[in-house]
Amino acid sequence: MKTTLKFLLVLMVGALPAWAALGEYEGSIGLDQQILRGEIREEAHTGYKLHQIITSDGALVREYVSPEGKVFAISWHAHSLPNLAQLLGAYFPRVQQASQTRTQRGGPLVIRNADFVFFSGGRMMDFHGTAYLPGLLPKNVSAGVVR
Amino acid sequence: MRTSPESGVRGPESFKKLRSLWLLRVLCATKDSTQSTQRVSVASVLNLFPRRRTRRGQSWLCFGSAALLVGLMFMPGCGGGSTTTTTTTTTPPPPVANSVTVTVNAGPANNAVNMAYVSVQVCTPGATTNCVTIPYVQLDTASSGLRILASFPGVSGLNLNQVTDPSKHPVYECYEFADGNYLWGPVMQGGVAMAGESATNVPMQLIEGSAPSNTPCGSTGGSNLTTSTALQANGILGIGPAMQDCGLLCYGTTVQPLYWVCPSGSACSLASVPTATQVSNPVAFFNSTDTNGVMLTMGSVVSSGASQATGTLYFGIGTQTDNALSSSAKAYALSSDPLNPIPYYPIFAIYNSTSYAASIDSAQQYLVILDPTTLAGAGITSCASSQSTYYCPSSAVTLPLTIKDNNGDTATLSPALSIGNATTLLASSVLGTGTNTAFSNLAEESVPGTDYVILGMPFFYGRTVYVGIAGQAPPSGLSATTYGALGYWAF
Repeated sequence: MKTTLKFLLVLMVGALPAWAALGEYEGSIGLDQQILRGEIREEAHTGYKLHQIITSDGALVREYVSPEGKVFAISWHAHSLPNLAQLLGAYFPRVQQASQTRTQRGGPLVIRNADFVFFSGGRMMDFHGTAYLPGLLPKNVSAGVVR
Repeated sequence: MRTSPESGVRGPESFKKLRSLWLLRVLCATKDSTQSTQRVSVASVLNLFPRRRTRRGQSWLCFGSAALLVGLMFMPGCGGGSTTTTTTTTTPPPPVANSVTVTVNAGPANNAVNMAYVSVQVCTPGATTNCVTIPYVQLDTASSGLRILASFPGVSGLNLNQVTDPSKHPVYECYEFADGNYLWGPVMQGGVAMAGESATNVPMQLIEGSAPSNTPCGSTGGSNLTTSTALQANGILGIGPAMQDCGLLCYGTTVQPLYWVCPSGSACSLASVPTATQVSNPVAFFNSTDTNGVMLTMGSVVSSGASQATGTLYFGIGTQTDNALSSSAKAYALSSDPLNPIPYYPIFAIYNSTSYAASIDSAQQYLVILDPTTLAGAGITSCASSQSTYYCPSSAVTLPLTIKDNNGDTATLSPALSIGNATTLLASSVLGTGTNTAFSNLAEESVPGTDYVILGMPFFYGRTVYVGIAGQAPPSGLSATTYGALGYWAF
């Protein structure tokens, strides 16, 4: 019910492009949970809040929320790649472009922009990765917490 | 049967439940991964000695005594590298030519670095007479199954058998890479032949078309690698420790998103596929005794790189006189955890007294070694690049590592790894202005926050590496229960 309210709220506010999570307000996590069909668990940490979603097929997705209520980072560990369009929202086109302009196969995909940092590694059945927005990192929280 | 956790359930109880379900699944996959029917009853979990797999003429030898018997029958000298012949009362079968040449060069599109290639014959199902020889198939010690470009000349005329679901819909596979690119195409059965080895009915993937958008492959942002330029190969030969590329995780009521059926055009749905028709390691299907794994020996490469490197891939471990497990090799049993029953990082590397998850992967062109912070004391720095994570030490650095498994096997890696300046090395490669394609010291960092080690292609030069397949009898001297459960690597 709470999730449905968040969903409606998001639709009404209209501030969210589609189902974005990274860079958006905490409420969008409920949508991610719906799309990913997962269970969610919240943990309080010094300087930020962590939502962990475990999907029915065993994927672990973490979303990091700042005191201002914005998702400043995500990470995943899963058998197959998570729905990055869903998790990255407005930042997904950068991943698409990096992916399609790649000429060497095999290694991780790395994007290091001033406002967006992305790593995707591992192989089929054991993928992992992180993405964060340096500009939204909470005070006294380093990117090192994203794992 | 496995059930989905109730939606909306929160809290640690349901997490534990999920993990216990996975554990059950893992146990079944380990004990029973080659059977075409899923057995998840308590009885099957307790069934530690599964039946003989007559279909492939192989038996799952659970105890060392049986393995020892095979060793004595087919391995004169018992593995220590000895050439002494022993007298036995059993006549061994005539030896099968069990080795093929491995080449590292620029590949079919002149754009490859540190990619090891073999030739594979793909044949009309049921026979190994009408075959197409496919060169430049990349050797991959960390995945399982053969994947080939459907567009390779002659492949379409082989009349490979389409694998279907119970409703006769063709089964497709979505096989992703971390960079978002993927291999999409139908699962087919056909013959496979290499050297004197042959198998008549191996499930494999053809790479063609583009993935429908409602499959994970169609939403990664990448592309299907349908050309030899994009794939940097004509195919991939997965000779890793797993029998199949998914196992029981792709069979049942809740399955991983690898296999798909698309009954009405682009509208696809997840398919549950029995292990017998999942894309599988062809070595385990060979009609010989050389089915328990492979031995890969690569020549050395000098620190400045080489235009080519060569080696030999032997089928079987301890099954013939040419593939004995060397007495100097240490075997590492693969381990798993409930959330990763087909683990990519199943062994460990110790650096500076800390243990990190590790993998042996010939399909990685680089060594993937921890991160710059962890390596700060070693004088290894990153290259100045926003789109890569390569290492660029000003002069070559030797990195001491110890490898270990969860079984108490541990040894210092010898010779130690060397890390060179990736920018300088790549400039001398076919990707730069030179002709080099083989480098023993190219390295990059792992994903930040998740320090790990992947011993990629640079690791293989100047070494002999064994890959033991899960569920197959290891050679004498290795316990089947320890090393045969999930497979092993030895070097």
